[in-house]
Parts: sequence; structure tokens; C-alpha cells
Amino acid sequence: MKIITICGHGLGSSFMVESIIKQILTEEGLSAELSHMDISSVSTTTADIYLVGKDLADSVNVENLIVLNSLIDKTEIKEKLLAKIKEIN
Amino acid sequence: MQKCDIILEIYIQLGFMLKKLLQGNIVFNSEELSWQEAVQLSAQPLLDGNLITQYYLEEIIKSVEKQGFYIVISPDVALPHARFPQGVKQVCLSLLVSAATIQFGENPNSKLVFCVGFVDDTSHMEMLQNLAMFLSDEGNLKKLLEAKTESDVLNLL
Repeated sequence: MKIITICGHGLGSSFMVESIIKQILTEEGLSAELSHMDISSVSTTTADIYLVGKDLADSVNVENLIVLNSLIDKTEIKEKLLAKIKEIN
Repeated sequence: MQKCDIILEIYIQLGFMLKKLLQGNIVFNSEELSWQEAVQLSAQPLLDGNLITQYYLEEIIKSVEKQGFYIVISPDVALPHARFPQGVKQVCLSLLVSAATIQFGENPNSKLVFCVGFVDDTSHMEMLQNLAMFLSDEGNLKKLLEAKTESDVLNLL
């Protein structure tokens, strides 16, 4: 399973989400390939699940996109991510 | 050293890292600010310490105007930053704690503004990972929103 987190520059916020996902996956005993990038790079890759903040959601056109209200709310990220993993498996 | 001691040691060092970066770089505000003023105020300690240049600050504002509010990371928190390494001397971090809410685009309730300086694609990762771990703990975020002094903030880290 490959998970990509997206933000404006691929430098800051997407890596913060990635860190939180890493922690969630460890706690849940799950594993995945994680990476983070900026919006313009998304079209050059493929992943099973993508995550983006609501402020940039309109600019991302991919399947299995999770839109987050907060990039640092572990409860929200966990709920939406685990639901999506269940949905695609 | 046992494994758990090593893990504890790492946690202490990580908290220490944020503490060291933020020390002397925290600003408090109670007045109404536009988002541009809030970004400027959050970056002021880094400008004063010559850790970033005025161009970096201008680049952040220009980037947001062009790309939208990518700096908003939660309803309470904004993280102004840009890809402009020539305007940053070293990886750095500052914080504005505002009693008055700040409107960033469609987000009217921001109160915490972390200005971050990046020099390349990777050297800030440890800092951001620490910040993510710290902020994703709801209790920490709540206490940070109530902080009134620099030591209130540093004691949380």
C-alpha cells in the first residue's frame, strides 16, 4: 500500500501529516510506503491513498483522496485513513 | 543503556530541540491583525536574529497570494513558510500566540502562527516531525492556545 500526503510546496505540512500517519500505522500494526510531495508532482506518481488539506483540495484531482480539515488532528487523520484503507481492501 | 532509556533520551532531546529553536523567538499579540500582519509579526524574531531575510517574508506572502492558503494546517494553526532557501540562513522556527483570532482565507479562527525557515528539502524534517508529534496531541494544543508567556510555551515542550 502506498500513501502520499500533499501540500503546497511538499516541504512542510505534507511531511507533518506523514509523521502522524507513520505513528498511527505503527500503533495499528499496519505498514505502508509513505511519501510527501507538492501539488504539481502528484500527477507524475501513483498511490493507493492520497491526503490533502481542505484549502488545497480543489486543486487535486485523484482517486481515493482524503480531504483533511486539520493536518495535525490525529483523531481525524486516523478515522479517515482507517476507513479508506478498509474501503479499498 | 536499556532500550526504553534510549527512547526516553530521544524524546527529551526532541523536546529540547523545539525548545532551543523557539527560545527568544516567541511573540504574543492581543490586537486584531490581517493575515499578512500576522505572518510579519510571527517572522519578526527571525528577521531580528538575521535567521531569515525580508525577501523570505515577502516570498511567503507572494506564494500565499498565488497558491492559496497552503500555510493553514488546522483551524487554530498556520505555518508560514516558502521554498526560498536563499532567504534563510539556517533551519529556524518562531511562534506567534495571538489572543485575537486571525483570518487566513476561509479560516477565521487561527491563533497560533509558526513561521518556519527551510534551507533545503530535508534538514528541517526532524524539527517538523517533532512539531507534528507535539501539535497532534490535543492536550498540548489546548495548553499552547492558553499560553501567556514564553516560559508557558517552553515548559510545554
